[in-house]
Order: sequence, then structure tokens, then C-alpha cells
Amino acid sequence: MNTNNNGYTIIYTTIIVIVVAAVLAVVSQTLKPNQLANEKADVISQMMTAAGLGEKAGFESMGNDKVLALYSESIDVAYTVDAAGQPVDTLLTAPADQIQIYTPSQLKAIYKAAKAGDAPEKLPVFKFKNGLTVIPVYGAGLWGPIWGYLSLEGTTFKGAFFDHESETAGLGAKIKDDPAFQALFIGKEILLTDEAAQFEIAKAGAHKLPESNGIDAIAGATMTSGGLNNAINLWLGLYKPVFEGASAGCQHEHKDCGHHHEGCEEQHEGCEGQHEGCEGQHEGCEGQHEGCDKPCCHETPKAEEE
Amino acid sequence: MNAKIKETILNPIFKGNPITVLVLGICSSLAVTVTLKGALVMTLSVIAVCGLSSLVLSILRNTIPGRVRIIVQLVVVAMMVILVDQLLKSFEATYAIDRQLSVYIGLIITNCIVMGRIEAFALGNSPWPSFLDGIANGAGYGMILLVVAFFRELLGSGTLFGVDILGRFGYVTNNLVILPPFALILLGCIVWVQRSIQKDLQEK
Repeated sequence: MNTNNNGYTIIYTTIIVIVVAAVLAVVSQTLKPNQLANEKADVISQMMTAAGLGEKAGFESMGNDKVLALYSESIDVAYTVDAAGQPVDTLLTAPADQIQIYTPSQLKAIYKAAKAGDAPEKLPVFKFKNGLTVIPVYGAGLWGPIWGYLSLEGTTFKGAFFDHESETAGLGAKIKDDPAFQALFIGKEILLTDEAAQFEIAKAGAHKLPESNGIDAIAGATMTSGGLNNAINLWLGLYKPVFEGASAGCQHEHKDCGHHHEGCEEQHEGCEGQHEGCEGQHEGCEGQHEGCDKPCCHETPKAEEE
Repeated sequence: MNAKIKETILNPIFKGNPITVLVLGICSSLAVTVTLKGALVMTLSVIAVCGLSSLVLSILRNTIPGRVRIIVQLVVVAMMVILVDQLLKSFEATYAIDRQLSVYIGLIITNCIVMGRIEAFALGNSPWPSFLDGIANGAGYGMILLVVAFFRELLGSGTLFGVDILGRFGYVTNNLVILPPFALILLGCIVWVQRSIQKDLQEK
């Protein structure tokens, strides 16, 4: 057989490409549900790591089912807010197969819109029972996308976890692999008064913001650190209304009434007592908050500890 | 024939090792040898890709048009790599490790061992020996990977397969070991050892 004439070559390559494409398409479709389930468990374990509920490696060895179950147990409420910080939708947190989260590809869509100057329609907010709010960040590193989750109490960072697609191992990859870097965030504050920068990751000695509003960059990973800095500022900017609400005290709706606002002096309608400086005590509050289908949250043992 | 098959399997493991003798696949052996677990998954992936690509291309070898044979090889190897990547992503146990290896699984396609063995062996031999040759070369590559990863994980993190070994004796981990340059130094040492055992490799 003459395998060198043009007709044969063209037909042969066409057939081989079609066959390969078909095989890959079938395999991709078949494996998709498993891959999505794995990605979901991964994202959830990242959020829980940021929220201080355990270590990433621990979640990985747990298996997907247990990770999802733990999430359902420890999450208080998850919802989306619009650009003005007003709640839009509730995200399901149980049962396991219906948990709604924001995957990196969904975050990418928000990131792209924000880059193009469009106000985001929906931003996810995850409130955990330990009082921490987890928000995502997404941006560009040196070689590819970087993303992660910040956990905050009010405007104070309580944890962070970052992930990346292809940052340099040992340098930029430290944003994911180095718990010591992630721990730098703990105790730092968002600077709400500054328009341009709410937080800063900069070389030691080159900080423009106060010490409590920034951390040192990773040595040898200037581009990744810079990318993370931009990503965090972009997203903190998007979430600014949420945090302003949280810090100014009860200016936004008590969705599901699950959160304790420090410095809240407002009265809840239908609540017989008063939030006295909101120290966690409802004097004489026996009923429910209007529009809230949970029993009064401040009476749960958890809230009393606060 | 039996002796030939034996030679096909054993040669790439030591005497004709793709990393230490042919000096192929160096890039990934520096990149994925930080932990034993990563190295093991990489090893199995390369064995699978190498073996299956050699098998398929050996079956097709008499039909492949000579002028586009590299392209045809590339398409088949790429398919195998994507299949391996998709499979790793879809199992709970390997998902995290696939994320950790990130681009390096995809980069198996550029691993010269795969294409090198197809060109050098699979296109001129029948399917069964080609398959074994692919597997053996993958194993020879993986063996070096595991040796390097053993030292790097032990000295760099004080662990083996994630289990704390040296940490309990108060070992302070060495960050240099985690960085790629140390893998190159280790690799150099392995080549040194092999060349002092196998004198015929030494240049006059």
C-alpha cells in the first residue's frame, strides 16, 4: 500500500483526528460528574480551611462525603449579595448533593466582569457558625489564575487559603503550600477608608498602608504576590458595601438573623427587648425576629459565648 | 525471543535508563519529585502513557503515512495524556494530587521518553514488544523519580508518603532540598553512581 500519496495522508489524518476527538468527548462526558463533585469538595475544603475548621490535608484525607457533611454542619448561611451589598439569593448548604458554591470558573466570570468595569450582579458570602464570613478572591498570578478564600470577623482577617493553577513551585506556589504565609493574614484589618487599596501585600519596608493593613510579600515571588495583592484589593472593593455594613453596625438586613453584629444598637422589630450595645444578650427577648424563621439566635448557647 | 523480551524489559531499567543514560525527561523529574506521592502518580501516569501509546502506534505502524508520522504520534500521545489527566481528576483519591502536579501531567506529552521510544522502537516492532518497551521505559523513568523523591521528601519535609519520619527526631527541614536545583544535584549523583558501576558508559 502506498502510504505516501496526498489523498491517503489527508484521509488518514482526518480519520485519526475524528476518532481521537470522539474518544475524548465520550470520556470527558462520562467522567464529568465525578470531576465536578471532586472540584466542589475541593472548593469547600478550601473555604473551611480559610474559616479555621481544619487543615487542607486533613480534609483531603477525609473523603468528599465527610467534607460535604462537615460543611453542612458548620455553615450558618450562604447567600449572594448585589453590588450594593444587598442580599439576592440564598445558596443551598444542604443536602450534600445540592450544596451551592462558587467554583473558580464562576469566580472567573465575576473577575472578568469586574475588570471590564461592570458591577457584579451576585457575589457569594458564606457565613460559618463560628462567626466567620468567608469571601472568595480571584485574579491573575504569574503563569495563570490564582484564587482563594478569606475569612473575616467584621473587618478583621481570621484566615486565608489560596490556590493557583501553575505558579512556580517553591516560590509563587507558596500562596497555597505555605501555611505560614496564609497565617500572616490572621489579625490584619481591611482599610475601609482608603479608596484605592483596602489591603496591601508588599515587600518588607515598601509598605504604604499601616502595618495592620498589609502583609509582607513572598521573597522571590514578586509577580505572584503582586497578583494576589491586586486580586484581594479588587474583591475587597467589590465587597466593600458588605464590610461597611458590618462595621457601621446593623445597616444591612439581618438575613436569617444568624449573625451577631458588634456594636449594633438598633432594635429588632418584634423583639421585646433591646439590643443593649449588642453584647450578645437579648433582655426579655422570647419571641422571634420578624421575618426570621429560626428561633432567636442570641439564645443559642453558641451566641451566649460571644 | 524470550531473551529478547527480557532484554527489552530490563535494559531501560538500568543499563539504558531513559533519565540517567539517555538523559531524557529531566524537566519533569526535577519538578514532580518534591513528594513521593506526586512522584508515584507521575510514574504510573508515564508508564500508562508510554505503554499504551507504543502499543497503539505499533499496531498502526504500517498504515501511518511517513510524512505526517510525528503528527500522528503526537495526536495519539496527546489523547493518552488527556485520558490519564481526566481519570486522575475523576477519582477522589487522586484529585488533590492531580491538582498538585498541575501542568506536569499535561506536559507528559512533551516528555521526550514517550516520543523517543515510539520513534526508536514502536514504529519498528510488533505490538507486544512495543508495549513492554513502553512500560519498561516508563518504569525506568519512574524508578529514578522515586529515588530522587525519596531523598527530597525525607530531607526536605522530614516525611515519607506524608508520614512523619525525621520530624520526631527533631530534624529541621532543609528548604534547599525542596527547590528544583537540589533534584539536579541528586540526579547528578545518581548518574555518577551508575557510571562508576557501568564503566562502558564512561567517555574515553
